[in-house]
Amino acid sequence: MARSKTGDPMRQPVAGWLFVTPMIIILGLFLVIPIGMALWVSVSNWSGRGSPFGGNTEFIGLKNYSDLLTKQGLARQDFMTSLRNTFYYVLGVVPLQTVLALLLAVLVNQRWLKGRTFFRTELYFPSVVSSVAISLVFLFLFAGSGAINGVLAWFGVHGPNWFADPRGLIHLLGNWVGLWNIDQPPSGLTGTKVLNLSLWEWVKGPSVAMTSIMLQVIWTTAGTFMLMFIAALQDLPTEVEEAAMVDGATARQRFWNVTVPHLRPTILLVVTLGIIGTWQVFDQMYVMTQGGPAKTTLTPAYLSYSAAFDAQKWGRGAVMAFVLFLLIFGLTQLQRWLLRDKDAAREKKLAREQRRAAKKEVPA
Amino acid sequence: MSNDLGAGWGGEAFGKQLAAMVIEGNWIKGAMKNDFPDVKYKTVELPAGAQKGTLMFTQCWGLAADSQNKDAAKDLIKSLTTAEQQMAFADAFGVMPSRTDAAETYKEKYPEDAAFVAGGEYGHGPINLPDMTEVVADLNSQLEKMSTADIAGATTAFDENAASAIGG
Repeated sequence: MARSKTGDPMRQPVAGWLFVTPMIIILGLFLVIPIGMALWVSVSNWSGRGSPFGGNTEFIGLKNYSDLLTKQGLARQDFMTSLRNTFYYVLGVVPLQTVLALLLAVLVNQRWLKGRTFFRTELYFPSVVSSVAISLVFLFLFAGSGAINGVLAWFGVHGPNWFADPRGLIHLLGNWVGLWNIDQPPSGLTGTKVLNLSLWEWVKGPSVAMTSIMLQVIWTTAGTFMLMFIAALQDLPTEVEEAAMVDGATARQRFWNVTVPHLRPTILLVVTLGIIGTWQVFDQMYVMTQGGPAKTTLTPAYLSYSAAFDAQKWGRGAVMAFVLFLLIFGLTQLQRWLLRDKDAAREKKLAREQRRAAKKEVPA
Repeated sequence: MSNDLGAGWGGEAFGKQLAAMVIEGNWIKGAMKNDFPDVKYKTVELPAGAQKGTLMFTQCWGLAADSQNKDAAKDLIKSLTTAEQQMAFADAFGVMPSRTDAAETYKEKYPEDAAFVAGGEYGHGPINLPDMTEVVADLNSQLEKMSTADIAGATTAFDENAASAIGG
């Protein structure tokens, strides 16, 4: 049946547009236009005074980009340091928060657990609290003479001064197992520089200060993602679980062969959201460390902010934001490809090939 | 460093008697009087290394470049920076005057600050050139762990960064 596009009484174009207009205006005003302005700032020499579209601002092409990425200097060194820090941060936070969220969800989803609602609320609570408030509490907890070190002292452990300790975990680990001496790093590693940082600096791992922030973030976000897992778990029909039980599957087998495959789309979602969120980490650095100690908690988002608002290098700040965006975009694509449903992908490929083969046969 | 001692700045570490001596400016006077009135202390000049030296810096008055009343603002700033006005600020807020012709008056009135005033003879100001802020910040970040810092590497990096910031 051929339908004309305009004459269909089921389509109500005017009402439709009317309903979406508020959202279009809000998105345009607060998302699309600012992004467009930031893009312009990243390719112009705006000084931060007056309007970026005023007479004093000129188009300078990709100079801001090439200055940051190809010019040997402090700007690139700081940016590379921030990428290194955040890389280790993401590497630590995303897997841990995903696994922790999944385990918590499975736990509070058990029918034998008394007070499930209490635990769910309690575990979700950190996500509701402002990250600034949590950061301030952690600042006190992890202070040199704070509660954490007080508890460690009971066990005879002399805790570090967490937020003032720039030593890297991998450096410390290597020192501990005798791979190297942290005070006299191997010259082979310190001598070679790749993108402004020596290999010794690249393999540093997250600093003790960064690790404290990671602990905080894992604790906060595990609850958020737990909620998503719970929602998915409640979708899992009890019959499937019971059928597995009847077939004699152990609890562990049921978890790995029934629960986890069922949660696959949710795991994909949680990991994606985790990667996006962790690469953009800003609040904690802004409140607690301002990039210190020794620049080990510098992140691209914080550096972008401080380049623009502290150093008045608006172009450089905007460039960092866009480079970060491209990086996150690339990484999420890669991660979606790695975690894709391999059976479904294979079937799709097969169907495609069959279609192609069928097409070839027709003209022959 | 003060944060190793659980203090926010040198003056607090000193007032809590966690540090035996600290390098601070004359703002420590107010902090000691308000927060740690029972701690007795003495102010002396920094001991000379290869030569005498200290850091001095001044706050500033800003004039908006797009202002419509630049001349009036300039006049106001001129009158606020006379020796007389600076002494009035010293009395009100405890800040040292930045003018050399106010130094004697200040020293007579606040003899306990003589060591700070003496630094004015040989001290150096910070490098107030564009792009130098982040170079200095980088040096500071490397010196945060004084005990384990690679001082030679940090100063070499500082020289390179400063040269490229000022030269470029």
